[in-house]
Amino acid sequence: MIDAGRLIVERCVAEDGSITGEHGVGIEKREFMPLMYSADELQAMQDIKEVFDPAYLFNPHKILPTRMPTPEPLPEPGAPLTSTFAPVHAAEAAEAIRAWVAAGKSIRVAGASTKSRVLTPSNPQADALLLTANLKGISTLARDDLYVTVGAGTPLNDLQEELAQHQMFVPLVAPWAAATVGGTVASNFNAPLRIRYGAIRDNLLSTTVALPNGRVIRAGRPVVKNVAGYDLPRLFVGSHGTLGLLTDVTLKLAPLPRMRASLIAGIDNDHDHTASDRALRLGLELQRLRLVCSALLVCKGTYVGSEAPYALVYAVEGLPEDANEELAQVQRVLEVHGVEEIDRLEEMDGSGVWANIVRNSGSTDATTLFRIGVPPGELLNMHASIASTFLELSQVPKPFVFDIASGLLYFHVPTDSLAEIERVRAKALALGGYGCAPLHAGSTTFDPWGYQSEGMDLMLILKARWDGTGLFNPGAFVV
Amino acid sequence: MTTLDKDAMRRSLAGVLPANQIVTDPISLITYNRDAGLDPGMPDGVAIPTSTEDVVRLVQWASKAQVPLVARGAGTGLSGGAVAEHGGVIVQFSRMQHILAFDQRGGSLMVQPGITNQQIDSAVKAHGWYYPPDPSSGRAASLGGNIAENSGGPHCFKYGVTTNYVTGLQAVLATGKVVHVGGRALDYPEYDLVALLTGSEGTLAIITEASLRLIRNPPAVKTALASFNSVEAASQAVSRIIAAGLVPATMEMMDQRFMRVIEDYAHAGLPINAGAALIIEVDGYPASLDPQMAEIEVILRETNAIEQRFAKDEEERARIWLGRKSAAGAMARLAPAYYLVDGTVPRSKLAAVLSDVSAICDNHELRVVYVFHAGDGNLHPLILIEDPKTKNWCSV
Ligand SMILES: Cc1cc2nc3c(=O)[nH]c(=O)nc-3n(C[C@H](O)[C@H](O)[C@H](O)COP(=O)(O)OP(=O)(O)OC[C@H]3O[C@@H](n4cnc5c(N)ncnc54)[C@H](O)[C@@H]3O)c2cc1C
Repeated sequence: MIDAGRLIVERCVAEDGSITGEHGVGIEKREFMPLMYSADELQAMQDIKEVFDPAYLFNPHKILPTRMPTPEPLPEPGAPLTSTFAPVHAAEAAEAIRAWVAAGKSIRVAGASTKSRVLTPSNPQADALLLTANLKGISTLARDDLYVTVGAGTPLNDLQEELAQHQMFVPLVAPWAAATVGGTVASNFNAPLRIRYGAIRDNLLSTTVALPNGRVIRAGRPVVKNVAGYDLPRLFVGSHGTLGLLTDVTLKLAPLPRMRASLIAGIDNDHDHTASDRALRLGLELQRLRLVCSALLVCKGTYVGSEAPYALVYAVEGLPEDANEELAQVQRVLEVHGVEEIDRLEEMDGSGVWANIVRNSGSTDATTLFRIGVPPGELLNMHASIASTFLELSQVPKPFVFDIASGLLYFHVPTDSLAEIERVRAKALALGGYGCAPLHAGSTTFDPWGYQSEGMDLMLILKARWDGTGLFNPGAFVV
Repeated sequence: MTTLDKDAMRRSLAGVLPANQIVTDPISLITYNRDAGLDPGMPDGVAIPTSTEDVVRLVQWASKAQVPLVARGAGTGLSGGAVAEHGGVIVQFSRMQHILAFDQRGGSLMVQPGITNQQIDSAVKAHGWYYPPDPSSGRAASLGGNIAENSGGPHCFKYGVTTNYVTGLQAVLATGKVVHVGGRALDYPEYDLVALLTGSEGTLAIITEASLRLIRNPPAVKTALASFNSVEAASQAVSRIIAAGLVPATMEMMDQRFMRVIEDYAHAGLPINAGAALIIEVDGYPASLDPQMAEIEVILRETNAIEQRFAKDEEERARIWLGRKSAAGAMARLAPAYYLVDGTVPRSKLAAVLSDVSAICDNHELRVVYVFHAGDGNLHPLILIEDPKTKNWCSV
């Protein structure tokens, strides 16, 4: 009978599926793991195990096969060819990495070449530049199975254009035209529509990675349910290229929504609250209505044609009946609270509003984009303690935007007054959140991340395990 | 480890937590010899922590004594995850079941790992919120087990699995250090250690608290049952529904053999003469349900559904689900045990793979029935075990 079980899971693996969708590997399927994963992939999982639990104290002998297959020995590294290289596939990337590392050269990873500041904090000191520019285009478009595999260097906009011809899209939005799919994934830059479709981590099914140790692994598989071994794909989301070069990514596809619409309301102060306070309170009140909501924003300084200092945006997408009903409910709540200036805009996309604000504020070297994340229920507290002393001051340029549903606030600070940000950061930390400048290169005087993860020791051990010499994308992230 | 060593180890364990939190007598330990899967393993002891501090004490002790620790929730896991295969101490979470915080404004919940899916469901639904992952074992299964297995359920096609809802964890590492990773905010600047711990089957750390993201409870649902000549035809209908851009909350498929087994047991009125049936559920605002079902009805007709039933009220809906939910009990009548093979394929490959699975089972002279989550390509052939004395079996 176990033979039959083995044949069945072999059949799943032959279709690029998984040996387990929801019941786990445990004891039962550990010997099947090599059917699905290469020696290098299993080794990467064993590395994870040993980073957390080197003495094998917790649930030993589970998940990994009793006898681990031995990874193939790597060929001798060649001589590094140039100081800038744009590989066309993962093996070529791995070869270049091995050569550079052997020669003691530090490597910087970049997406769309010259736009290196876009989602890839620059690290000018690196000796070599590894570009994803030649890792381009869709390799698999599985409409029936709702996934697409695309080269990491493909501009996200190009991908969306191509998918739109098939009435599909990937639920990712990058504010910058040059942003690549791989850069967006590696930087975990999430647009407001994540509340409707899931975050980037929830849309990434699989990715091929050239690790800093010169091995190539395929993390995950193109199926939505796969619990065979550790969840490696998510590890690379938000790792800012410090754990390897993503060469392709497989993302979930969504059908283009049948309808998109938004309400935009001008919010001024009333006798009890300032305009900003009132806008946030209303936003939080609307939280409970979210069913097909694709953005719930409070913005300062964007509502053209309105006198009100703040705008509240509630966007929906989906079936027209759901979308219309939800907007009607939102409208009623706003009216009950005395909001008079409410407009309905067809086809307005809330993530587009967000992208405009983020893009504008991140566009010059004189200002730095800052993001604060707190538990959404704490946004009011966060705002209360920085509104009059920081956010409303003239040196913080408008516009700025609260992504209410995600508990995020994006604003933009003059780079020469970054020192003042520490006060704001401290408040966010006290509320269980953080404040960071994800596009800032960092310097001896300013730490763009400003967050000490309690998992930092684990992160450092993992980084050292795959990048023993610390040459891979140094300075790009906290490790 | 010799018997003598084990006795010494048990005595030493007794000093770690109060006596009513330690189990070492051999009769009581038998309960922990299995989970709901195939493989046995007798623990040397069981510890029942009531706090994170208790877990820290246990880990510090185990690390010094070099005794493996196996976390355990309800023991409903199907792959042997909660079994102490080579001995050691089971850390059982039945006394850490509290809700620690419920942020109704922000839509998040902080809980201890021993809480069950059902307890979470009733706590949040009462306030209009919804925690979607819904393994069929949810009456008993613990959230710690859900997180460790990254559990899914019938509603995963639309709403995703456990990892999509866990935003933060408190965990005790092998060093005894307590760490918080992630939290109640989103996108912390750190590696996604929450994702690594989720689905790690208790092999990386022991989870002692979790922060969950909630969504709004859909105001209305509508359920239909459609029957087809074959699994292939039903799969075709599933593909067409998805291609139309509809996202039903559930699409569960049952084959004829499964329905016949269930019908004998549950008398749920299943279409036992059909080759396969689909349970399709849509949710949303009341106004959108009829149009959604009307579209589905057209697709079902075009894909040659033999019969379509639309539940008009809660009672009819419950009746449609009764068949699907009676699986475990019905299977027990058919064979003393079964072996459930859980694999996934890209959905469009489902029909082809299932027909090969039937051929594999025929070749091995095994009886097999199918019931599975068709929307996400998760096949679940249930292979009947006629004689549980054969080496591997799983009791129902
Ligand atoms: C009838 C039946 C139906 C089922 N249906 C489904 C289904 O629809 N979908 C699905 O996904 N699964 C299903 N399962 C499988 C199982 O119920 C789930 O995996 C469930 O989440 C396990 O929870 P548990 O509390 O029973 O975990 P256990 O079986 O006790 O443990 C499972 C794993 O979790 C680890 N663990 C438990 N608690 C912790 C903790 N605090 N910290 C770290 N690790 C921990 C254990 O070490 C073990 O590896 C079903 C099982 C049965 C018997």
